[in-house]
Amino acid sequence: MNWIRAGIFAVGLLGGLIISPWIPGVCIILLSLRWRAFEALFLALLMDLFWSPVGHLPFFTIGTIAIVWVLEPIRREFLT
Amino acid sequence: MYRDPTKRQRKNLFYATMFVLALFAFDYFSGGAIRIPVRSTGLVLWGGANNVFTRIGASGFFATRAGLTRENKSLQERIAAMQGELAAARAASSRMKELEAAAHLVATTPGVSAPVVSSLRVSPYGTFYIGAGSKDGVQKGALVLSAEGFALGRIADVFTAESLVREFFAPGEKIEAIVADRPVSLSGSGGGNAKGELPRGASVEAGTMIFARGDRVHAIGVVGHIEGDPTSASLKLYVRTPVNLETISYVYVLQ
Repeated sequence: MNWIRAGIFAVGLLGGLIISPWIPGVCIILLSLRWRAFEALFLALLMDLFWSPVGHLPFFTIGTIAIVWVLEPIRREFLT
Repeated sequence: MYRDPTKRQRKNLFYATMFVLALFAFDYFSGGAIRIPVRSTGLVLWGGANNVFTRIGASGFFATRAGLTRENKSLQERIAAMQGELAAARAASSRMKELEAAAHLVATTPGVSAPVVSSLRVSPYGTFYIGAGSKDGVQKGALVLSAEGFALGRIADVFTAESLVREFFAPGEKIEAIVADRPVSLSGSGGGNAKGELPRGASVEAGTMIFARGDRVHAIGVVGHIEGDPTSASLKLYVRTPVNLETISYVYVLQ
């Protein structure tokens, strides 16, 4: 399972640098749906640190924190 | 003693959230101390991947794959090689034209020309990197022009050897502009596009140039489409950048 998480994280990271911002977005949702994934938070942070100007609101990080915690009751209900 | 793994995982996620927030806060208050290594690593990764994709594209592998099954192998390889050479020659010629145009700009306005070192369409914030920084005299807030002299954006962050440019029409960006001598407030939608509204009666047509307030020299956009029904008091303007952002490889930064 860990290698799937690492793989999704790597795809999100490379996709976010080279292809489209939708790729890390999708990867963050996939990770958050299935796991309590701290990688999703770091992926969002890296996207914000790389692309946003200093002082700009980190939309990716804020959105990911919301997704990770909003999905927690669903994960608790169905995955445990 | 039994320990609930769910509780432990939730606690770890909470600590990770706090850690990420602390990292971002530290970066914000230190003026970008953490993003400097993140950016240099990211640009190296982008450069490597871009090189690989360019080589695959120039080799003609995907373009001739279907043909190889039908035609003589050696002939196809020769065609592919020639196509690769042609594509490389065209790319070099296009870069040369951009540099010639940039050289013309250098003669008329003081500044520095710089290569684009990241993708122009990937950033969710309407930003891209150029290969010139504080060591080249680039300053925060400086105007960034295309080789043809159109204004693309302003320098948002400056590092030693590279700078981050924020496009005028970045998603969510508001810009006060002048179109046909009338002020208009444009809102960026990303990808070099923006929207705005003008009072009915303004003599605007598709193709009219748009300038930022306070700079009537460098156009920031061009009216692409106008919409408005006869009963409405205003016209809806759809604006785009006059240059194709995806083909730009050099820009000019005013000093």
